[in-house]
Amino acid sequence: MTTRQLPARGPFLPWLKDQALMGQTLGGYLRSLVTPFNIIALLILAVGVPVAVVRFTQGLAATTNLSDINPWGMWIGVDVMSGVALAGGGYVVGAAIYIFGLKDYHAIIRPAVLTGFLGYFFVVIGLLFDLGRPWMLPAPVFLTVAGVASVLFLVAWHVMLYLTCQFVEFAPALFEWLGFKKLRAFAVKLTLGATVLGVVLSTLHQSALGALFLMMPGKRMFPFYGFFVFSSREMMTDKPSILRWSIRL
Amino acid sequence: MPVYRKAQCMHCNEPACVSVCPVAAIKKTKEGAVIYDDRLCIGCRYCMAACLYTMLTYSYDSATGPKILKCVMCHERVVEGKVPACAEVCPTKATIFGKRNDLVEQAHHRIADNPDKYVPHVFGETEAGGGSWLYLAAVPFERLALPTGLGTTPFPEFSRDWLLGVPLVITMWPAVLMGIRYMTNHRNGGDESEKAAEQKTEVTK
Repeated sequence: MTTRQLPARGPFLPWLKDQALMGQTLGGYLRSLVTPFNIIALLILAVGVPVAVVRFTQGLAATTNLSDINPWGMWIGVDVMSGVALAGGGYVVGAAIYIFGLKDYHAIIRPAVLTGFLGYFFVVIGLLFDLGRPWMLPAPVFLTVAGVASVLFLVAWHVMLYLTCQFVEFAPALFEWLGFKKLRAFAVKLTLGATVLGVVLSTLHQSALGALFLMMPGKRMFPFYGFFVFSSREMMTDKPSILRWSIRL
Repeated sequence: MPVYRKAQCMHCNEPACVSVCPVAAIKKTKEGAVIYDDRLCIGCRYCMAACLYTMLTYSYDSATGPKILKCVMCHERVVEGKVPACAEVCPTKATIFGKRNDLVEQAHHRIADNPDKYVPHVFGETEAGGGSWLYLAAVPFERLALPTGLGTTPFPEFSRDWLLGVPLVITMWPAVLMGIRYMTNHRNGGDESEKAAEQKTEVTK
């Protein structure tokens, strides 16, 4: 990233345009977007966007092979269960710097926190595709009805709070970009609290994702176990026990 | 020879589906029925995944209002003092309805009176804590595709220990982490060195 002077706060729109294009002209900015990675991403989008449209207009039956016996598929296994762990970089680096005092790593905190924030953010976006009634997504957190005995209820709270923590950790960069000096200084003060809370939430959240399966002894799920298995026949014959469950996993 | 049974929700006494629902859309009623309210449902299908008997179904073909479809033991009729429709119309009284204690007693009487006619077990009396739906059968329950060997522990028990650990982590972890932070910060020369590191990042950006 090249160093550049922040422009003085002139008229709002030109200033915003300049900030959004990172000081380049529109053509230059668009040309800078043509990279091998972006071309691959474009191909993925070319397939994914039509599928997403079908999903939201015709339902899960038209786009997945989910059934009453296999209600959770690869999407949940890969995206929510495993993909979310890829966002762990922000939490590890944050804890290393602010809690364990490894200040040498301060230079990489921003990309780490940004990937952590985006990782969690896209898990939530991904979840919208899988939830049958996605407009109800905020319900576990914001409605008065609560399934407090549910591990998934905790997962919902953890994801919401952790996303907030990650945003607070990233906020200094955002305010710096917008040129808000005082807000930036305030956000920096929140960093330690957000990091500690983030570590607490991650500890609970990552183990909660595994604990979802405590209630399903005998059932298995891709990618934790071989291939897409979520066998009800096995349920019919196996003696379920926590011990067996933990050995399998 | 093929054998048939009426396959449906077992209306567990401590249902797994009720305890896993993050929005309490499924409820166990005092009448015994396990009922579902689609207005609260978020469509996560955890109840289906957790059901011991895989007896919940889902309208996957709906994009605008998919629902969990399950037997609700005609709860609305039962509240009015009526009998569930399936029990009312059954011409041979193969399906009957009544108070659970009476039915359990009757089931054991039937087995005792006709030992060569029934398998000596009332399925649903103790399975995973028992439920409000009971089976008597002339063939082993495996042949009816019912999960034998579920044990007598209600499934919600399995996640209880983990849930009890949550408040512990929430209260202890911040103290431990702040303690570590205090020690490392002290060793590194206090807040000044931190401010320097922060400023360094700002300048290089």
